[in-house]
Amino acid sequence: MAPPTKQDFINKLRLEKFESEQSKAEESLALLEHIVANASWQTGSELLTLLRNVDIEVSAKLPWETTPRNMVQRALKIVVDEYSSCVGGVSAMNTSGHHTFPQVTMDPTGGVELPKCDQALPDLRDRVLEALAEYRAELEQSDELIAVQGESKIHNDEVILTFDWCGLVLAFLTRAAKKRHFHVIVAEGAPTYQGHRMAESLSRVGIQTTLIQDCAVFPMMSRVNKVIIGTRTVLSNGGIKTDLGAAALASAAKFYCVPLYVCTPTYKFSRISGEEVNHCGSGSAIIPINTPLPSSVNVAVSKFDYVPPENVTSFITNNRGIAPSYVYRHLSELYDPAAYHV
Amino acid sequence: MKAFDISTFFLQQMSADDNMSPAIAATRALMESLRLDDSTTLQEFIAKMKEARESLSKTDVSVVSVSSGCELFLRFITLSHLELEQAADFASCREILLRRGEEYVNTMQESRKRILRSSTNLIKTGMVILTHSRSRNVLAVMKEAAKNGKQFTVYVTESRPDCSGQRMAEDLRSCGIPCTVILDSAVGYMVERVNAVMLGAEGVCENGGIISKIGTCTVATFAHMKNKPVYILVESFKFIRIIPLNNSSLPKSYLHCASILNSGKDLGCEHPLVDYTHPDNITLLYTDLGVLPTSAVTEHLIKLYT
Repeated sequence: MAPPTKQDFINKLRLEKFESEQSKAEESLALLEHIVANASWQTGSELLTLLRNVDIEVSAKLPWETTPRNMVQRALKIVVDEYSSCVGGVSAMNTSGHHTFPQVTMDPTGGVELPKCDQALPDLRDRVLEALAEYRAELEQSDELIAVQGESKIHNDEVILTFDWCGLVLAFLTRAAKKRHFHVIVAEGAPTYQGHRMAESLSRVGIQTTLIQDCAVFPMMSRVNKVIIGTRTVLSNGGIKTDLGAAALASAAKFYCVPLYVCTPTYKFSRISGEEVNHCGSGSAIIPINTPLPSSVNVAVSKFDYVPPENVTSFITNNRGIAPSYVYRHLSELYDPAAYHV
Repeated sequence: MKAFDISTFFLQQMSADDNMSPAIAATRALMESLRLDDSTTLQEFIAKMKEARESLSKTDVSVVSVSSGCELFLRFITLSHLELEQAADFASCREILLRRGEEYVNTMQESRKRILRSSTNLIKTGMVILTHSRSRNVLAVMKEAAKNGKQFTVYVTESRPDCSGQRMAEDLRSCGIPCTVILDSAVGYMVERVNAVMLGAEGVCENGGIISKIGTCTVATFAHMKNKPVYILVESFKFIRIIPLNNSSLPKSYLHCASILNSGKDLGCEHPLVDYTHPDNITLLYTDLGVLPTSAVTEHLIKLYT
């Protein structure tokens, strides 16, 4: 197999050849491991710069692809941590130098430069690779860890509403179905109609499923006990950016006071606030190519939808449930504050 | 003698630089009195510093931010530090305290720049912004955005009783930002036209609520009701350790200036200077520590005060 390169990875992203965010995460991790193992670097700082270049390139060309950027940020934190523990303490310091209050924020201002890791340590490469391998194991287990929580979150005779296709939510519900008996309503998710595939998979494991139109979400909501969806990105303010249709779903849930749970592994938590993650699709998604439509009619096809933090009840992640107001704190545990470039 | 010096020094600093926050002027005054101080023991020194702080809060300038800035300054310099414990005598202690004081004042003075950095993406072209009264931070961020070529419109409330909104409008117009002064009572009428509300604050409470010029509560509550985002631009030295339950539980020293409290007038007839805005009405706080949700304030306060 050819060694992964940055250019190939970005091209694959651009042509949308990945089937899910999980595969994007795994391949970006493979690329980062390749850089750590094979690129020529001597000091920690050089490695940090190399890794951050991946982030910079992806954000310049495809700003809405947050998963690879989050993986880079995580890798940067791993490198800084390994460096600090190698050197034994305070060397990887913020370049601003003064008595810094530890940054627990959504959008750091201190230290636009990377932390200084100037000492050349011989075993840094191995230690970083080891830590990245551990992270890879965690990544591969995250689906399972989330699915396992299904049993405790869903009770007998409940009506769950979900939306479009999400492999994680499918695993979550399948696991719960082993012990509980409940009913699932699936919104079909036009124009891709992936909801049909979801309904089929759910009924195959013996769950009673109903398929509804996206516009029927509001009238159905009064009968629903819980809404469980997946997402593409979790924003730093606790909101989410996900496939079109989720915002209406979330507003309906808020109106009827139905809790909305979002199943998301930790690599989807990103440090952006939202505006940059916008992408438009081609008009042919909703209007077939040869349809006669006057050219004065503009066809706008958006890909993402924003759900504000007030409409989300909780995030179900690998380790535990996280409230939207706690997301900023979780980000400071996952990523290094100094390593984010504005 | 010293108490007299510190108040006049403080007021001199305030009149010399209009853009300086009162809290920074107050800490500078404290630094000056630290330099001139002739105490021989740490106890005496701390007692004198406390006296100095008391006399500063008796001036008629914004008590909320001044007392918070001074409190943090004193904590920062006297915080049990390894060096202080190892110092041989009080003279070397004083050296250390002076140095830490200088560091702290320098950091404080950088805080506005850091707020500018964290709010670079806040104002977008075509935005219509509503602001209340005259906040130095809001003014700085708007000037920066105009300098970077963003085109936006501003509505400023007149902000009685001192009509500082008029001054804000003049300052904005001098930078080429189109702005209109509106009556305080016209906020309800205008909110539907604006995209966002940007406000300053005199103090940030532990629960994330803010204490700010009278009228802020109205603007923020109404904007929130109409689902407009409310952004507060404030430095971290204004974080204070109180949690007011409502507007009636604000301390009198915040509501009225010192000269009125001392003159024995009936406070029921005096108009309050500040009000309290509940954190539910605030979307985000743009501070020098970064962009914080209201739930993050308590954590930062703990870090600042320990």
